[in-house]
Amino acid sequence: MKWEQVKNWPWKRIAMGTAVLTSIVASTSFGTYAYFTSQVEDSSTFAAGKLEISLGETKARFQAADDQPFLPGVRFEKTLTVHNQSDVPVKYALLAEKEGGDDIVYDRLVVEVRRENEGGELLYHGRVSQLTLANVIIPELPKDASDDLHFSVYLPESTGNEVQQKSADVTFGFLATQQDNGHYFAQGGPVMTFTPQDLNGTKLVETLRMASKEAEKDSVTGLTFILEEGSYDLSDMKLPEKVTWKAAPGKEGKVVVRADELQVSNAAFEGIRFEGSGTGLYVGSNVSFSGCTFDGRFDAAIRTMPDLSGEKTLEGLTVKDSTFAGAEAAILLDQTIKGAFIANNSFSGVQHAVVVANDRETEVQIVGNDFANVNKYAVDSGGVQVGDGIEGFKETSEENGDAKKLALHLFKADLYLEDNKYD
Amino acid sequence: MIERRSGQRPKKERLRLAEQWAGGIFLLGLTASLWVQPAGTYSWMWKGVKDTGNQFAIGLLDITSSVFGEKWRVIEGGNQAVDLFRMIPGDARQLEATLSSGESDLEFIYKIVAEVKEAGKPEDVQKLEEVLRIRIESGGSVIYDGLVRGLHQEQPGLKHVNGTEEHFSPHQRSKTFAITVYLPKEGVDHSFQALKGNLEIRFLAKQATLDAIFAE
Repeated sequence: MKWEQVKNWPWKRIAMGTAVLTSIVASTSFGTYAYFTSQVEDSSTFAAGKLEISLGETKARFQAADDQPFLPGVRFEKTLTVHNQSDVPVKYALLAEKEGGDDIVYDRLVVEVRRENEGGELLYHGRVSQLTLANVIIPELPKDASDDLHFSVYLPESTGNEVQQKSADVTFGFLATQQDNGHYFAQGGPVMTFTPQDLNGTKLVETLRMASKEAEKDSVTGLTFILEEGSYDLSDMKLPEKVTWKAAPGKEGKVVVRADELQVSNAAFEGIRFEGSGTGLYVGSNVSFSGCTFDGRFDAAIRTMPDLSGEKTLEGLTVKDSTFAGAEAAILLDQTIKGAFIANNSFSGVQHAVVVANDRETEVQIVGNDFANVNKYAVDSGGVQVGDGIEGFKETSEENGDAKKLALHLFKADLYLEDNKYD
Repeated sequence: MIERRSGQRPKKERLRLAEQWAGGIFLLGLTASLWVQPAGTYSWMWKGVKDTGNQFAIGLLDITSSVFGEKWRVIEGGNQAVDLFRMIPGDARQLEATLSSGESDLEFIYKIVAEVKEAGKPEDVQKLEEVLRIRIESGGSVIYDGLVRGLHQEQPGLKHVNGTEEHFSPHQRSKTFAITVYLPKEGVDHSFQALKGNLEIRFLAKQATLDAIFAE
């Protein structure tokens, strides 16, 4: 650049501009405004809250009154306390896991969990093995609050000699999460929701095929299929194992499954309404029904799965909190089955509620059912009928005893009945 | 009326294709759900607490090592063979029986039951039981002395006490009983001649809890 060009620059304007800019920069730097000023700050900190529960216990181990040994009918008890030390209210799930021991004991163990307050609200009464999927949820435990939960573990009175010298090691626990989270815990395994359109035609076949394949893996403890309101036709199907079929929350009784000769093993059903005729469900081992409705012209709503070899012994049928209407036989046990647990069901307009009609010893625990509207017999086994005390046997209470009981050792069955209603 | 443009698929076919797509996506989602590790499918905070080491162990109740003597001993009745069928009024035969707790580690309650079983004519059983008596002694005291039919197993469900029930601790190991079967000297007339029956005597045991029942 030549001097002649520089000489002609607007030096005066450049000098003025520089002075103004310097002044602005200087003012900004030192904050020497002449105005009145004021300011407020919104400093937002995003810190994760604390989710923490702790466990307390009344005694080191489960024990029976008078330190009795663990025998069928003897209740081992312990109170566990869950304390919410989180910043928020939580909901929590009951959880049980087998640590070791023998399946024959673990699969038969029953636990009753009650709140240890006035009234002793019942939270769960059923098999310990059904608590593995974190599916029994207590919806609220406020911040800084505690729940004292009384656990009573027992082997049903109908349990026989096959459990002698066997044992089971069990871990009981609680899983907590924020109260406003969804319905299902991760520990419950994969949860899938279906509508009637999803479980229809080729999609139904494909779904069942994939679930069956998944269930074959040892690592899979269980899948949960949530069914939305509507009708599902599963007649003549063999359902995959390790699946819990559950009505969507609030839709209990509105999920209708058409069940004509539906075959199930190692599966659970909650809040499902079964309709059909003939034989409804053929059950193999370890099938559980909870809060279900059986309505239709069934010859048998639930029937033990035929065993062509004649040597297989089924085990672990649970039917609880369910309603039966209109069947010839509500529950027909015509194959040998051990550890059947039938509790807190209501039978209305059925000819017979429980029929034991097999050749070998079957063990059935029948507790807290309402047989008042059964047309003929509450329990019928090889000519021994339990009903209203006129034509058969009757539950009686011991002197000063508060529960009516009847234990029967029959040629074909060991039956134990307690606190059922007959009239 | 809207005419279909050349090359456009019929509505029915489009619907079918859409359904196939939806079905494919549904199955893809299902497959993904099953493959993804469960714990990875949730982002919630959760906390678990456990109460471990709760053992529920069941003991043993086994009286199968109990024994009944091999031969009946003649107490009354002279030189006849020891044969219940050939007893005459006043005859008495005795058998020693030992209840053993074997390997049991549980306390239990036992009882003794007896019954005449058919050995020819069914009607003989009932007639024999009208007169055949049994006396059970142990440790110098008489536990039962009465008709055999008083020791019958009862129908299921009925609580029945025949007087032989007793608590047994496995520490006792064993207990010996002298069981005498006899025909009274009086009240057995000629109509009882040649009656035949087999006498079955059994020990029953049940767990020592209030509501337990004998396997009758």
